[in-house]
Amino acid sequence: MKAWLRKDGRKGIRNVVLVAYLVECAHHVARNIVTAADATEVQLIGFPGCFPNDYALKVMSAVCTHPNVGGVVLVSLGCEGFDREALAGHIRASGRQVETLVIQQSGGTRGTIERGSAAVAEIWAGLGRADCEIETSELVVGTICGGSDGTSGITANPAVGHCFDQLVAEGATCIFEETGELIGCENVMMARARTPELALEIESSLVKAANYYSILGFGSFAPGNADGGLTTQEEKSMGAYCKSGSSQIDGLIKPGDVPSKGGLYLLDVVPDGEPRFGFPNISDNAEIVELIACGAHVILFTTGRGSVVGSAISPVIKICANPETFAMLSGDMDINAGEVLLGAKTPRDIGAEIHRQVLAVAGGAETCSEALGHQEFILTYKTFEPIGPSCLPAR
Amino acid sequence: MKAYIDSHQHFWQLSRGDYGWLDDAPDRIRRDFLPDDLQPLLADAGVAGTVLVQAAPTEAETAFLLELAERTEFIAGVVGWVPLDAEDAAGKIDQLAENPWFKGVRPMIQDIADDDWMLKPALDAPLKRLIGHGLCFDALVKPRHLPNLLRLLERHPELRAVVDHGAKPDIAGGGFDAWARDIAAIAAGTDAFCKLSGLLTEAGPAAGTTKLEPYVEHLLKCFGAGRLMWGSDWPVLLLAGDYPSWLLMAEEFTAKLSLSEPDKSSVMGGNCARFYRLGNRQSDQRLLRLHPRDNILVCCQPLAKAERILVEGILVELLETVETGHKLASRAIAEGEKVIKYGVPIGTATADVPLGGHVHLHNLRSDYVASHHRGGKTATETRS
Repeated sequence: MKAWLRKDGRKGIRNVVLVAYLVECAHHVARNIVTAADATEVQLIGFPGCFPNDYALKVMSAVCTHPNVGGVVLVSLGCEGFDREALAGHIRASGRQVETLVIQQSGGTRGTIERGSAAVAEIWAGLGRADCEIETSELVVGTICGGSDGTSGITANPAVGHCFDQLVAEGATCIFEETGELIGCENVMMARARTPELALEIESSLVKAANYYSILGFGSFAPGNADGGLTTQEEKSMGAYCKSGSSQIDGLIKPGDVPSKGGLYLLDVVPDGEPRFGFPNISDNAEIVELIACGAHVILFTTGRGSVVGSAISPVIKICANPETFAMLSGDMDINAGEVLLGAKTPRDIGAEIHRQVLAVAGGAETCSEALGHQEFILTYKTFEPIGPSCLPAR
Repeated sequence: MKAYIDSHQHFWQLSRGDYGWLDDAPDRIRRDFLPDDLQPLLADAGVAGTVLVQAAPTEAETAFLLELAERTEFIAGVVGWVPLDAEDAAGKIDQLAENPWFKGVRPMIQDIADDDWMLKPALDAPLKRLIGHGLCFDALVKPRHLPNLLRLLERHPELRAVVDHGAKPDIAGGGFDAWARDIAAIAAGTDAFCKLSGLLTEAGPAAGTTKLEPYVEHLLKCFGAGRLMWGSDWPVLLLAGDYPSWLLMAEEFTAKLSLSEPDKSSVMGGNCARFYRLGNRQSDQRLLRLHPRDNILVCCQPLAKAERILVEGILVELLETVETGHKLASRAIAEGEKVIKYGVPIGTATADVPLGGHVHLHNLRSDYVASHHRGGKTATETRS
């Protein structure tokens, strides 16, 4: 598989220019720069808040220096709290091109759009070719489920688990997440941890998730679940958890932490401390952004009811759990895991299909959401403590 | 298409450190042998599956073998080790019986100093447990043990036993007569099976077909084509030969001894599958097994009340309509037993569930302390 070798040594499977607004006040200008570029390889990202947030800076830095990203145009209003110097410095230090435009100093809306468009064109012209090879063992693959229904846990999610087992065996890095949906799987997960210390870290991340969600008033098990055949909390959680497959869990990371070696990682996306800044995980897109911030080259998105979102930075592969949904949204779906329900295939067969698709997409094949131009992005306030020493395997 | 099954092979990983006998073994077999080493040999030979047999007298090794089975497609079953004379042996067997790959036990009788060990009364209860679970007993014996083995099998006529390696006759030393008499007595007096394996190793270096032939012929005459099963005994086999040449030799014997095609396929696989009860548990294709350890199957399509469907090889009439996503018991589940889905417990049965019974809120409760639930209610209470 051909890849772009970045100056920091990381290898990308896409070559994207980002235009990032650093406060909502710069959103419109940034969007116009992207619209003017008229290229699927230029994606708009941004952070809306005026008050600074360490998490947002960390995630923004990680996304802007993602291996699939070649260069970045930052759009600032000028008076927001976001530390644009730190962000630009971080991007520059990674060897990527970066141009910072401050609307208040760049001729307002028109002037900034003009200068921004020129900056995108200049960065684009300076980007190299995909002239190095990337191995399966160098890939980082994330998984998420959204718009789940009763079929997700028996078709698409176990299939992703089989795919993850294969990828991990091949030395790749795989990331699963959403501890809030894993409540009740504590013992099973802890038993898979690389070390007893990591098992304790996993346990506390789940305790944190349970507390957080109970404060927010989200009960996980609803009567509708029972109608769909689910009987217990742990059964429901296992339906989401089985995306992780059966490999050893090598580490626990938080948004923006990039695993230093292959293996299976749990991404803890639930903020530390008391809930403060509104709802966490406001949409699947926030979790996709967090997976990208952890270095994911490709995202495996399982859905039963049907989700259409995507990203230009890291291609999103849609794995549809429900055959009826697949029939209705086939233009948005890459894999029809619902075939399991028709008796034609097993989750293991679909897992092998997903694995082939991951390699094809890493080799340049377009996913449905890429072809359709999806570029959803959301980044909001959160707070995190750094991960502890037992969370990562020794290098 | 050939559907050979290798009824006897081993794996070992020396760093595990419990293979005492390998310390003095020749270099050729004193290294790691794992699934990746065997896989290409099986593919070349057209062998579809294997029975993985213990090589160390420890429970840890059995756990290791069961783990290998879980992640290795070609392993169809595991014969493990249990301290049969220990006080809690029966309980250990109960536990192992829950593992779908666990097919039987093999005490290492040939290495036990006391030739009468197998007749100890302490073994009676665990052997009855094996019988109760339909599990098998591999007799790793030498010719001198055969009279005792006969007494043991007469004491437990229902025990599904197989004599490993034809009881290891001393082919190199020409020890035919006493062995031939005693093995004939076992074959005639019991329902025991016998493995056509390990003989090359007993014949010594450079032994040809001629040297083995009277022994093979005798085994076939005694056990017939219905109770003899081919096995490789790989990697021990490497002391005297290699996988393809031993397989070829076995095929030559079946030709030379004029076995019919069906008889040949029995010896080369069918008998082994039948004896160890390997994967012969078909279910309706609208039922999905998510994990080999599960004791439930998930419905992929609605199943109507009174419909007769196949569940793990047994025809069951449905007592109620079962919708997509719901669960049916793939075996009888007793009250208090864990219900297993995705290979892990998802709760405890609150009532006995028959094979094919609907498993849901009426007979399954969460083990999870649902402290985060609204109003402190459990899932079951929320629904009612």
